Amino acid sequence: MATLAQRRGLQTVPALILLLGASLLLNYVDRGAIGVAAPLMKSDLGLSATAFGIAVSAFFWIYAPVQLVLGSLCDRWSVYRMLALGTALWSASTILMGFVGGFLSLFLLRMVLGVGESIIFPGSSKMICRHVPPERRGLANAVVMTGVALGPAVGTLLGGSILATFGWRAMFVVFGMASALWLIPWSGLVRTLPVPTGADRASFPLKKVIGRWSLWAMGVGHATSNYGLYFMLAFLPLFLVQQRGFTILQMTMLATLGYAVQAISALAFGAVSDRWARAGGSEPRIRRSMLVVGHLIYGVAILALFAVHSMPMIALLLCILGACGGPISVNIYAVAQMFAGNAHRGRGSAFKTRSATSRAFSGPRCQASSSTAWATAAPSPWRPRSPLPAVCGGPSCSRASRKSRSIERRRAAIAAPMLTEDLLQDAHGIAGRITALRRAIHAEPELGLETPKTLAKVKAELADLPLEWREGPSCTGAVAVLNAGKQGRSVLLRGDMDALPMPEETGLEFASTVPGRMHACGHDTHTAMLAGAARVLAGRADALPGEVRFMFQPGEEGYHGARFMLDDGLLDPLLDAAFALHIMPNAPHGAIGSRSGTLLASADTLEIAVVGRGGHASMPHQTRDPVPVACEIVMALQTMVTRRFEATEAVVVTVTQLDAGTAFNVIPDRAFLKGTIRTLSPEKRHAVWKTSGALPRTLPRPTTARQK
Amino acid sequence: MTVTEGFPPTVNDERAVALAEAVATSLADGQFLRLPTPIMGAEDFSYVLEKVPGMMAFLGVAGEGADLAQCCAIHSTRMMVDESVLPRGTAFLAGCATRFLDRGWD
Repeated sequence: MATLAQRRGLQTVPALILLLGASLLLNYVDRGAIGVAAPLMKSDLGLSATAFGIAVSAFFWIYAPVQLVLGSLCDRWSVYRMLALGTALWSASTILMGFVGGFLSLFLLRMVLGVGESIIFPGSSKMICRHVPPERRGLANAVVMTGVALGPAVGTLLGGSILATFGWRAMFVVFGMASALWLIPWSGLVRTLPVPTGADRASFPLKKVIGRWSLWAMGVGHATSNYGLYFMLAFLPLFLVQQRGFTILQMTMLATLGYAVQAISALAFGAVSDRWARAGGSEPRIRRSMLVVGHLIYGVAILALFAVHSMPMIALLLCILGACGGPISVNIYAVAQMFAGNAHRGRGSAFKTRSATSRAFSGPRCQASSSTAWATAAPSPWRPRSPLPAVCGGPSCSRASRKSRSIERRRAAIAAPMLTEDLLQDAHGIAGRITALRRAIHAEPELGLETPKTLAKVKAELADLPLEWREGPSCTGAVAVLNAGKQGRSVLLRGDMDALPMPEETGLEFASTVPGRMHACGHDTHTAMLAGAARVLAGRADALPGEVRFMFQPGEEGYHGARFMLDDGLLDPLLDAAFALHIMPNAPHGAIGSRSGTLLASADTLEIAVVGRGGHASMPHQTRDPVPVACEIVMALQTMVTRRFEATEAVVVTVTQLDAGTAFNVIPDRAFLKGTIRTLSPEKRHAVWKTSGALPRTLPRPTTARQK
Repeated sequence: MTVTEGFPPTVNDERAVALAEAVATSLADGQFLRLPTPIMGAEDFSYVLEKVPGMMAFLGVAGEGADLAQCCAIHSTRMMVDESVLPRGTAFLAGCATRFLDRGWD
C-alpha cells in the first residue's frame, strides 16, 4: 500500500485529507449551529419540544440505515463522486433550512441532511484506506476528525454571531452556501487523484461483515466514542447553562475550549501513534491502548463534571475531555481501517451504522427525557450510564481483535503442512473426476474464443462448489471465484480450454469426435487440473486467508483469449499473484520445471504479399515474376536475423507458408509468404519489426467475438 | 508486408518461481527443474503476467520411465498424456495458491 501510494500521486493525498477534514468541518458546523438556534427555531416555528425533538432527530434516524446503503454504494461507484453528491445534497438542504415553515418541512430537511452526511464517514474511511498506508493513518484520521471537533466550535461561535445579528434563517443560508464552495476545490482535486487500483475495488459481502463478531465489537467502540462526543455536543451546553448557571457566552467559550483542545489533541496523538508505529511499535497495540486509556479517562472526567461547580475546574475537565477525545476519535477509525486492510470494502459503513444508531438513540432519548428542548438531555438517566459504556467499549474491542488474530494464527499453523502431503492426497482422492473431465473435454474439442461446451463441462463438474462465476462479452472465458472479497491476499490460477485445428491420430478410446480438431496442446488437462484445484481448495475455503480465482480461458492458440478476458475486466481487481501450468509430453514423468525471468517468447505473425505481373512461364522476361522475389525475401529474412542481431539474443524468423501460382506454365501475379517472429524481449521484438520493415498493425477484434 | 502482433514474451516473476520451487519440492518425490534457457514457444498467459506477478511452470506428463526422445511433442497428432500425473498438477496449483495466500512471497 505504501509503495502504491508513493507510486500513484502521493502529492495529492495531503490535499485529499485536508479536503476530507474540511468536509467534516462543514458537516459538523451544523451540530453547533442547530444547538444555538434550537430555542429560537422552536419558538419561531411554534413547535412543541416533542415535535421539535422528533423533527431534528430525523437526521439521525435516517442516517443509520442510509449509511449502510450509501457505504456499500461507495464500494461500487466512484467514492469521490459519491462524496461530492452528498455534499451537494447537504449544502442545498442547509440553505433550505433557512426557509423552513413548520414541522413537516423541518422533518424532511433533517432527513435529507442525514442522507447527505451519511456518505462522509464510510467514504472518507475508504479513501484513507485507499490512499494512506496504515502507519500514517493516525495523522490522516486526526486531520479528518479535527473537522468533527472544529465544526461544532465554528458552528457555535460563528453561528451564534450571525444568529444574534441576522437571525437563524440567515445563519443556515450562509452555512449552506459555504458548504457548497467546498465542491470547487474537490472537483479540481478528484481529477488529479490516482485511479482506483485493483486491490481495493472488490466488494465485501455484507453477510461477512455481519458475521464477524469482532467487527461488531468495533461497532460498540464507535458507539461509545460517539456517546462521548454527543455528551459534549448535546448535553453539555444546556447543563452548563441550566445546572451551573453560566451565561450563553460563557458556555460557548467553555465548549469551544473543549473542542479546540480535542482538535489539537487529535492531531498530536495521530502524529504520535503514527511515529510510534513507524518506529517499529505494534500498530494494533498502540491504537487500541490509546482507545482504552482515552475512554477510561473520558468516563472519569464526565463523572467529575457533575461534582465541580467552579469555572476553572469545569474548564480543566473540559480540557481533559478534549485531550482524551482526540486519541479516541483518531484511533477508533484507524482501528476500523486496520480491519479493512488496504481495501476498505464497505466495512466502515457497518461500524458507522452502529455509531449512527447510537446517535439515533441519543437524539430521541434527549428529547424524551426532558420537556424543554431536544437537546435538554435528561441528566438523571445519563449520569450513571455515561462512564460505563465508555469504559467498556475500549477493552471489548481489543479483546475482540486479539481473539480474531489468534484464530488467524491458528489457521496459519493449520495451513502450513497443508502444502505438502495433504493437497496431493486430496488431489489423488479426486483423480477419477480430474481424468473424467479431461477425457470428456478431449473427446469434444472446441476452437478459438468459443468453447461453450467445454465451459459447460467445467461448470457442471464444479456445480456443487461455493464459487462465484464471472463471464464477459468477448469470449467464453469464465472466472470462478472462491472466497470472493475475503480479506487477505488474492491469487489467480489459470487453465486454457481451446484445442487445435488438426487431426488426431492417437487411437485413444476418448479421442476427438470432431474431425480436424484435437487437444494436442494439453489444454484439456490444464482445464481438468484447474477444476481439480478448485475442488481441493474449495474443501479448505475457510482455512484459506484470501481469495482464489480460477481462470478458465479459451483462445490460447493465437486468439488472445487471456487479453480479451483482461479487457472484459474479468480479472479486476487485479490479483496479487498468478500461476499456471502447461504439460510437456516429452518431459520426465511428474517433473515440474520453469525458470526465472523470460520463459517463453513473443510470437508475432509475419505476412508478406509480393505483387508482380504474371505471364507465360516460357517468357519470364516479359513479366514481373513474384516467385523469385518471394524466395529472396525468405533468405533475406534469415540473413537479417544473423547479420543484424547478436547471436546471444534469440531472434527467430521462420517462414512457414509460401503460396503462389495455379499452374505449371503460368507465372502468377502475386506470391504470399507467412511466418512467425519470435523474440524474448519487447525491445528485440520491436527491433525485428522495424528492421524487417514491418508495419505492425494492432489486432482487429476477431469476428468470432460475441456481442452481448 | 505486415506483422500481426501475437503474444508478448512470457516473463516469470523471480519470487513466484521461488515459491513454485518450494511447492514442487514439497510434494512427494517432488523435484523442480530450473530450465537453463527460455523456450521459443509462446503463451498468451503473458498478458496476465504483464499485469500480475506470477509464473508458468511445465509439468512432465511422459509415461514413467518413457524414452523422452520417442514421446510425441505437443501439437503432434499422436501427443499422449500420462493421466496419472494430473493430480500432481492439481496439487501443485492448489499448493501455490495456498502458500501465497498464507505467506505471500516469503
